[in-house]
Amino acid sequence: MDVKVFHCLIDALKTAGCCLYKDSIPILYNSLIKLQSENHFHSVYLWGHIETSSIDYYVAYGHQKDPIGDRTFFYTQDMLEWDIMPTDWSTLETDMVRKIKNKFYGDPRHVEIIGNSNKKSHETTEHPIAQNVELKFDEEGGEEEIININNLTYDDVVSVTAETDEIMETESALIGNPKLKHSIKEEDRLAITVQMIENESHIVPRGFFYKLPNGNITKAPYFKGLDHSEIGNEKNFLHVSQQYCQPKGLKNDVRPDYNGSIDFLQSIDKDVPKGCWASRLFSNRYFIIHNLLWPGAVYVQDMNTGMHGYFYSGYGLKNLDLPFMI
Amino acid sequence: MEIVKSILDTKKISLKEIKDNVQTTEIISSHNRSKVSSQSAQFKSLFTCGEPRLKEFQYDININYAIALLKKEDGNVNVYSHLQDILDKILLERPKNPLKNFEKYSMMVKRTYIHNEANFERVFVDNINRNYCFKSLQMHKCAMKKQLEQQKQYNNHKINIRKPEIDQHEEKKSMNNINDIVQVQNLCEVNYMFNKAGYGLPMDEAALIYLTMNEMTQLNKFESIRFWGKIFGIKKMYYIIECKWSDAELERKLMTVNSVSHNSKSSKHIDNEIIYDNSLQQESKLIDTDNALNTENEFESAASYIDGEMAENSINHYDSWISLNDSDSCTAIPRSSSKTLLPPEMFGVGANKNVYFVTNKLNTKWIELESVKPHHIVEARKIKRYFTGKLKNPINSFPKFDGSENDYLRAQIARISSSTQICPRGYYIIDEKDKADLSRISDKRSTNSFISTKKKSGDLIFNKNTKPISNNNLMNVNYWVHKNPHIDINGVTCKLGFSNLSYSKQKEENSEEFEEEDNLSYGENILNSKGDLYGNLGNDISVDNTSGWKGVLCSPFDPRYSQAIMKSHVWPGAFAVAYNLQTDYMYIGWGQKHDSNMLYTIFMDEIKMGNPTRDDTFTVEFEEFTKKQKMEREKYGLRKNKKYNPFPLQFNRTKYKGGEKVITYYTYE
Repeated sequence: MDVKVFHCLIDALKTAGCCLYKDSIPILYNSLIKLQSENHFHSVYLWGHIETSSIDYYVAYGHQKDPIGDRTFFYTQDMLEWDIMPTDWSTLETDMVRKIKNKFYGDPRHVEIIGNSNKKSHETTEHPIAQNVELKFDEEGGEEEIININNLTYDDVVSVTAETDEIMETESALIGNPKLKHSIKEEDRLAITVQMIENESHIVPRGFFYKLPNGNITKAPYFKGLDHSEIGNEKNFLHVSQQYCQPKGLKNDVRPDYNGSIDFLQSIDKDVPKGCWASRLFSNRYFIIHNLLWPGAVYVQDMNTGMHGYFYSGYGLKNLDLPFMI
Repeated sequence: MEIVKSILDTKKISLKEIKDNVQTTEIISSHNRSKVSSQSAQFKSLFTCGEPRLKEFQYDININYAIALLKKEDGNVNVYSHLQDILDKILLERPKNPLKNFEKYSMMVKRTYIHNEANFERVFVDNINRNYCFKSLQMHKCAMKKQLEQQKQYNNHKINIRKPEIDQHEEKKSMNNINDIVQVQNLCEVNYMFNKAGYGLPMDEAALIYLTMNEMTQLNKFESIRFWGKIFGIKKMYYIIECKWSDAELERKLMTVNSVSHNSKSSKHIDNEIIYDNSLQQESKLIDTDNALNTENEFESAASYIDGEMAENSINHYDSWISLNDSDSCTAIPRSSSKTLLPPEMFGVGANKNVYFVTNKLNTKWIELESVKPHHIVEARKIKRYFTGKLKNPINSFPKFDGSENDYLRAQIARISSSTQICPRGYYIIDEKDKADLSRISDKRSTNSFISTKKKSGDLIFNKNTKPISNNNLMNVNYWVHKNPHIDINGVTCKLGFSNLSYSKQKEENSEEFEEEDNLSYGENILNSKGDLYGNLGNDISVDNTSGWKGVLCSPFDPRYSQAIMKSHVWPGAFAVAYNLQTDYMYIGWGQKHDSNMLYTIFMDEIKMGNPTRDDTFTVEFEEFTKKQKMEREKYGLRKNKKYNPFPLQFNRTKYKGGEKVITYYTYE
């Protein structure tokens, strides 16, 4: 959420169940303003708060001109100094991140070792169904290889499973020092996780971003937030992430009031699994959308003032059980 | 005057002129019209023929229609009148080149109009739901009224009694009579700590909850009231208040329960009540605070209670709007068909020590949850589902849950409170005096006899001799202890006092983590001292074998005066705060235990057993199939079901929907 509206939305965040220590709010605010001025950012956002076993991470990002394209992410633990987040990683690492199911340790230099990858693949061959389930979500989570899940049929998924198993085996055969290969620094893991969450659960209301005729994207200056008639429709919320930025190729599912300068992002109504967004109006004032796939990711909007923001407060773990839970 | 006259004259003239003009044009047009109408048959030829004819055609405008069009704009100014005014002006001033300055004239004339349209005052149509605000206000109003009434009574009392010295003392006593009995959580104070801890309630919520709790004290049914927390649902949120029955109330409940289960038709009165309750049981039980607030009489009776009248009828009186399921523990037994199910624990014991009231909206009714049944807890452990926010929603989970959402909610509340209600070590002690009662009660319960003893089984009281623990130590999990007994695998709390605790520890303690039991080794833990009420937090572990709790300081920059928070990793959203001697806990979350992989493992086990609902889950999993594929899949599923020869028969006739679906397919083929 934008640092400018940070103070105004704290009550809304509380209602949404986000954890923000009261004493740390002014510190965060000040340090983010500092971050903005140092990096000449157009605006700075507090992205969220990732709970760890020891000291929590705070994540923020800023952008200069393009609010979608060139965002720079930062993280901090002491809330005073912000470190830049690593930006490049291999697909292997993303795979590993998907496999890790435990909490963050709380130290960026901590090295997580995935020991039993072989065992895991073995397990999955034993229960192919589970593998399918798992895989489906895994792929969706990735940002490198975007497989369009919609096109997958039952058979496709099976074939994918078989392939990955092969890959796993070959990998494990090739690697001389498996420990080195199956280890990941927590800093990288944090970056990848944040990117995943960002891609899948960061949303903005429709009309917030405005595409100019020359292709630049700006924040619409007079956007006042969605009103009560609009919040009920999932089509009015759009993914921010880059992968969804491409115009979706005019199909017949274009909304009737299509506006090219606003509808250049993907709306959330097609997300899988269906029902992974839970939107409610709390205490007559705060409109809150929880993402159930990434528990802790929320979009909040104060209906009276139209101020809105996105925040993540959780463990950085995906809820793989979601289809059984809704 | 002359000038004015002349102007008027000119105006008249000009108007006349215009009228003449209009008339002439009208004449022309009518002429044309007749022409055109005569020619209309040859419209095509007309259109294609040469220019002169086209020109004629251009005249073909219904002038009246045109005038009406010009006059169409609302208000006193429209194009027609504007043109009129301009012509007036031109005729009046007779400038040299009116065409050149036509725009100027137009502007000038326009400026003279009063600008109605440039009114920046927006019509006030706001979308704020005012009803909600009114309702909340109503609550405040009633609370205020009540307060005033009490004040009045107090003052009256004061005047009546002459002796001022003793009087005040007595007054205080009588005034605090209720509040002495009822321990109400001081939400304002506690909320401050909670806010520091990062969770905490917004002001508007806190105010309403506080009001409600105060109101509940007036009922004289509860011994202690506190706000338990919030549970998010997909559609709505649950606010939950935790109460403990007062002794008198408990006694009454137990009496009704026992007498009913003993000889069901002995006392008509109770029977009636139970029938009434049963009918209500299908709907959920409601406390309509609104009604309550509006009926002042009840509060008067509550005020009369201040004088110390312990009247039975006052309790009965409140039944009109707190309709409680007194009979639920006895109705539960016939309802559950299989004999293996354990009966629920008694009111005031173990998992049912407290009663919970939930609501979706703070300014509406609060609904009492039925007491928890052990098999619900057992089943709730196996499933993982988000709440929807509707209490009556059926739970369609795979390891089946026999009950609707209110049962599930109650079971989760029991689980959460048993494993996350904690306090710093030594802050509370078990009330030793009443320990003997516990065994007696459990004996008596088996024989179904009357119970009229005091029931304070395993009550905790604040330890007056305790000293505040330093913040540094409060961050350490070993300095925290559980306040509630654990719920064992069968879904009941270990009914053991402190004396048997050391024995029970190895077996039943931390049963919440029974899934990972092989990893646990409680025996060697040294901290099993008397201060550990129901187990030390140091023994808790979370999924990935790390500590189940995390201690945080609210503000790391000022450790001395900062509150210490203990956050649960097992139940994300559960936390406890401590500062000096103040300590409290709350839960704000989704009501789900944090455990990766757990669901899978269970699923796998069940699937191996030949799970009929497997195909159902797949339809949830995957995208829409084409019709053909769907048919194929259904066939496939049917064949498979035949092969597996579905599931135990007792599943068929019960509410298990997934099974039913498949069965119908099966039989129809």
